[in-house]
Amino acid sequence: MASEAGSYANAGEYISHHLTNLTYGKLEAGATMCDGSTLESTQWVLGGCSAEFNQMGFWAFHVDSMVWSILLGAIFLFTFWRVGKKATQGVPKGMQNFVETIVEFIDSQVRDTFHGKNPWIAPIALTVFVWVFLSNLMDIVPVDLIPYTLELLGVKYQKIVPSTDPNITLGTAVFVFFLMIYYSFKVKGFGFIKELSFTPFNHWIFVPFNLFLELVGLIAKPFSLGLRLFGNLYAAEMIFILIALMFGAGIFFAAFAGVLQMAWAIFHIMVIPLQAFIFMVLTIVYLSQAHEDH
Amino acid sequence: MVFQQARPKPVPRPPAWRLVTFQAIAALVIGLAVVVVTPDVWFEVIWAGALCVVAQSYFTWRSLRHFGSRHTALFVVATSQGLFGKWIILAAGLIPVWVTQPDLNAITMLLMVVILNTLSAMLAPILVK
Repeated sequence: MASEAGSYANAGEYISHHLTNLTYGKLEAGATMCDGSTLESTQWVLGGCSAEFNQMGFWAFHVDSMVWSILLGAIFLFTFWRVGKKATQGVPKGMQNFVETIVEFIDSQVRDTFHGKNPWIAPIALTVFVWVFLSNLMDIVPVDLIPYTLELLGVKYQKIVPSTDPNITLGTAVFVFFLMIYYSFKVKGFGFIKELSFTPFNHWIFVPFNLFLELVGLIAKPFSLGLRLFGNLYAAEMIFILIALMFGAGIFFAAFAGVLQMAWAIFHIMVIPLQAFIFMVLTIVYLSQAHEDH
Repeated sequence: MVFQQARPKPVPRPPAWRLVTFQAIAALVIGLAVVVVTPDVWFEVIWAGALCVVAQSYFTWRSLRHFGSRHTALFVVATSQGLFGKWIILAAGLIPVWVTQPDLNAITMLLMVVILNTLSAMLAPILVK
């Protein structure tokens, strides 16, 4: 529970600080700054306190989530590229063994679930799985470790788990949604609109009713992807933060918190790959449905 | 016979439509009671009740669409779509009304949604066997 001043005023401040993103955004003229002064002209600034973040409105970017997402993506790409470059045909060892296990696992999932012909589905599924897994894995890092270290370096706010940010999870879900729409039109052409209009009732009188049913289902897909991941990881992060609060309440509670932290971390180790797996399977199924042409 | 069919009979679908019927009846009863007791919020209650019935119908239809399919992922996905679709219908039916009609009592609508969904969730183990 450390901060610039040594400790937080209360538990609420500690929690809200840990749930606040480092935000870069547009502040309009007249906005109240952290020091109480008023901004004379409209500016793009890196916010310094929650009062500034709240005034940024729609044009606000969560810099920490974006940086961590890109960093984790780069780690994934670099690791797999390096292993792929050095891969040998013999019995795999070490990292190559690990990467081959993941690739084979994803490949078998795609073969079981996807029945179309598209060589891009397995790489997409692999990317989604590993990237979501790495994002979720950041939740295992002790809640204060990186934020506090960065705070000492002058970065006041830092959320290190990208999948606890709905912008990131819904952004990934929207990417899958666009792929779905793209492949639906590519494979079925105008038949995609026909499918939406004439399913489940194959008569023109029911077109508005069919469209209502199918469009709700279509819009539900990205929400079911993004909100599930966000909800699970945000709740888990919140529990880690609440347990961490106990460390400041004396030696007895600190020891108890240590046990709780360990227990929750062990349980969370199961949640991390499970959520990544669900996200990947849903992605494959949605893309498979986009390729099904009757 | 060399080969025996793995699934000789189709899997019967659970009577999940009973929940929709129950919600419709409950909405009607609450609506009638409100018309008699506090008629100034009758529109809110009827609108929220109707939305709940439509949303629950959508959930039931969508989630049971692939019920019994050998491709189990389809059933899981359909249920997930049904769940999120249900709340999308409720949000799309409530939020525009709140924005365009500020005089309407939003709390009453939310309360109606919560009551109907909680009631049906509590009775689901009895109604759907």
